[in-house]
Parts: sequence; structure tokens; C-alpha cells
Amino acid sequence: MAPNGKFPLPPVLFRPLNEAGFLVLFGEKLTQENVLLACCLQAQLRKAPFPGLIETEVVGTGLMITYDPLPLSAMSHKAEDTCESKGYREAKSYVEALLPEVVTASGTDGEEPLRLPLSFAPDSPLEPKLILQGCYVSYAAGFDNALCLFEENRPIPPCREKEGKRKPVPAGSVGLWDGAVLIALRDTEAAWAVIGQVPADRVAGGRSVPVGKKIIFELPEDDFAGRGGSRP
Amino acid sequence: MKIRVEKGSLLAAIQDNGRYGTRAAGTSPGGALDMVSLHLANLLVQNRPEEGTLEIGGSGLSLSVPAGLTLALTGAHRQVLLDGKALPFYRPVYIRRKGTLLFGKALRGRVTYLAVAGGYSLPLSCPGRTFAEGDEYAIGRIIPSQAAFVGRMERCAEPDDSFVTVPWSIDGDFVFPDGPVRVVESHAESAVPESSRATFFRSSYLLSSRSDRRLYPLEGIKLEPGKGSLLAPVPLRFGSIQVRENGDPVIFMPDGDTVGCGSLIGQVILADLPRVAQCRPGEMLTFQPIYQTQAEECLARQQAYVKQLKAKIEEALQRRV
Repeated sequence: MAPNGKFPLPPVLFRPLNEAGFLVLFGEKLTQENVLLACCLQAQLRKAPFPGLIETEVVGTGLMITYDPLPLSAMSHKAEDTCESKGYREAKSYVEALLPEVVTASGTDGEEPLRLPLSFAPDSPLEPKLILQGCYVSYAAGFDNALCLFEENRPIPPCREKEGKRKPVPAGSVGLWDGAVLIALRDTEAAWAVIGQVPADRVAGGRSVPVGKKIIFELPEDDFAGRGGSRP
Repeated sequence: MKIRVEKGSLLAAIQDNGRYGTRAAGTSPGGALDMVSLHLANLLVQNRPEEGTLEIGGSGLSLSVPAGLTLALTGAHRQVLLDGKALPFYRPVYIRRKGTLLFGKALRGRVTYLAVAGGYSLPLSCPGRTFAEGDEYAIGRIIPSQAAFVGRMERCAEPDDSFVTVPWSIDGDFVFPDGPVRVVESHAESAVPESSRATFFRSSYLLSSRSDRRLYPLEGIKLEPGKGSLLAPVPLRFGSIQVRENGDPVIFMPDGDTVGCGSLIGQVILADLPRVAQCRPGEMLTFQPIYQTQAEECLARQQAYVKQLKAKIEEALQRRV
């Protein structure tokens, strides 16, 4: 992050999905900066929606924009193009005009983190300190069964191919998979290494944990000490 | 005025345009499978186009309908009997005597829409709920032009008629065109390899019997999924075509996932979504890639045609029957 509290804007990629949707990507890698930039663009579009805008959603490293192309196409003065539709080019122009306003100073900085009491599974394979010391940020909301988190101010580890047997995972379970920390939003089946449990009602449906929200896991002191951990 | 469910069906539910803005919570927008037929059904009974209507995907549903109800049937052609007498599709029908509607098997297409003048009066959380036996659904507020139409219909009915309808109908069959389903290709890193894509567009695929409101699995030549599953998640929407790890392509439907880590081929164009939705298990589908510009033109043509139909319906409803 720059000293003024703003992230510099990386090169932005526009990727059409069809005639009524496109992705605005802030990079190829999942980083805190990229996710927060997408959140910020989403906030800008909510404040100043373009005609026909239907929905925006933060996905991966960018923002998916869904719109009705016909109002935009009807008002367009752009020349015909063989590949890209008028509606798409108009929507893209609107978003490009908003990009200078996209800074993450209005992101989650300064907001109170969500503190989730974590009880470790008896056979937890992880060192408790690993979880306790980190402040995590939620990203890639939209999975219907899990909330994905990464550790704040640390690069996301690259995805690895991993074999694992799927097993039942109850709602509220905290697990590790492919470099990400996940919280089960409902009873599901997954190949995670389950390390503990948070109250399921605090994260039910993902509604109480928006993208970009800081999360701190809290462990009861006796449990923590019993595992030989020490407070940072 | 209330409609009572005499025999329920898991494949019958009230649907509308869908609920946008909840994808971040993992909830897809939902909504009708065939949005064009839903809009036409509503226009025929002078409702708002996006009013919730009953989507019927299977046979056996039986409804008790009250006298004084105006309804319209669109979408998949199936036998719909009112006390043993077949009701016509694509025209407003005025029910004169209380009776029982029975829905038979679809003869063409997959989902039928039943709109009632005034709409179904439901709590906000209700759309998407299946019709269970014993349920009662109240009819919403009737607007003056609907009441005037009812008056004209009543005057031209014979004393023994259980229902009366107009001498005209609209052509809604444009939802069922022949030819390939048109697709805007995905060129993201998560897209399938070029060779697999070429195979997909050259081949015919059979719509699986496992198809539902969430997913239409396709059966045919297996495709190479590519490296999509190792990359960042990609958004999935109604019409997204993805190659599963086993090499089978699938089309995501309104109740499908919101994001996934699979390899994308592309997206069915908006104008062809109703015809894909109306495909029945066992039907063969072929696909054709087109540019985004062409897709927008197709949508504009379809919308212009629906607008024309709307104007014709409004004009016809004002005329004396």
C-alpha cells in the first residue's frame, strides 16, 4: 500500500462474457490489493450506475458486471464494430471513466474486524499460532458452500494441485485447502484439512461477512496454552 | 378469489424475473427458465411483464380455479383441461364457472407458464416455492382495463360455456426455432483449449435426463477441460457452458452455481436462452460461435418482436370481442 493509504491502480483488463456481461480484472493473482480495488469499483458503480446496469459481483481478482445492453446500444454514437457490441463498448467507457476514482482508501481500512471464537479440532494438524497471529480478509465471495480467506498483507500462495478425499464438513468448520483458509457456510462435503470450528450462525449464508472484511480468529486461553502456544 | 392446489407438483413453482444482487452471498438470481414466455403470458392478461407466474415443468398438476378468473397459457405446449375441455394457448381465457385445471404431458417444449390477471398475491419470500397439495394462492388486484375486458368476454359467452376466449392468438413459437444454439466464446485463461472448442462446435450433444433448473448436462464427445480448474474462480451465469473434469460439457441454468473453477467454452446468447431452457431431455443440440455484436443484434430483434406483439395484444384487447 502506498504511504497515502491508496493502492496504485494496476493495469486493468476487460474481458467480455457475452453481450450482457463482462469482467473487469485488476490482475491475475489473488492479492488483497486486487480484491479491494474490485470492491472499490463496485462501490463507485453503486453510487453512479450506468443505464441498464443490473448487477455487480466481486469474483476472484475482479468485478463481474451484468447489464441490459439495449438501452446503452440505443443511445450509443459509437461506430459499428465486427466483434465488440455497442452496448459493451458503452458500458466499458462508463467503467473506464470511473477507474480514476477507484482507490481502496474507502475499503476495509479502519473498520472493526469480525472476531470469531475458534475451537480447535482434537486432531488439528496446524500449529495454533499460525491461525491466531493472522488477521484474515475474506475474498472471492460467491462460493455457495464456503467463505474463502487469505492472510492480510501476505501474498496468496499459488494454487497447488492437491489430492484429497472429500468428507462431511459441518457448517462453521474452519479448514485449509490449496493455500486458502475456508469457513464452511453450510453442511457440505470437502477435501479440506479441518482445523477447528467457529459459531456457524456468525457466518451463515456469508451474509454477515462481505468481501474485504477483516477476520480475526480467537481461541480460548486454556485451549491455546494447552497446545503449547504463546500469545504474540 | 383464490386458486387451490388439488394435486401438487415438484416441478411447478411461481417464477418471475429473478432476484439480483445476492450473488456475493452465493445465491443465484433464479427466475423463470423461459423469460420470453413468462413476459408474453403476463402481457396477454394485462399484467406487468415481470409479474410472477406459475412455471409448470411436469404433468399431473391439478388446480381448482374460481369463476371470474382471466388466465393465459404460454411456453411448452401441453394438454391443459378445464373439467375435461382443452384450453387454448397464447390467448386470454376467461373462466366463467369454477372448475379443475389438469396439466398433461408436454408435447413440445419443457416449461409452461400460467399467468392470471392481477397476478398471484404472495409474500415476498414466496417466489420459487413449489406448489404443494392444499396450498391456496390469492389473486392480486385487478386493474380497470382487466375488469373491462372481463365485462366484454362475459357479454359474448353462451350460458353453458365454462370458459370463453378471444378469436385471435399470438405466435409465441419463435421461442422454438430450429438450428444451432448461438454462443459467445470465452477467451479467458480459464477457457478450454482451441482443439476442444472446435470439437464442441462441430459435434451434436444430447440433453441429459439429469437436467434441471440448476444444470443442463450434455452427453456426447468428451472434451479436454484445460487448465481452468487450477486458476482463479470464474463467474457462472445462466447460459454459461463449462467443461467438467470428466470432459462433459454442461450449461448452467437460473438456479445454477454463482462461481466455479472449471473451464469455460462460452455463454449462450440471451436471445437463445429461452429455446435452450425449453429443450427436453433426449433432444439433440448443436452450437455455433458468434460475435458479441451479432448477439446484441439478435437480442434487439427479439425484443423488438416482443414489443410488436405487446402492441398487437393491447390493440386487440381494446376491441370488441
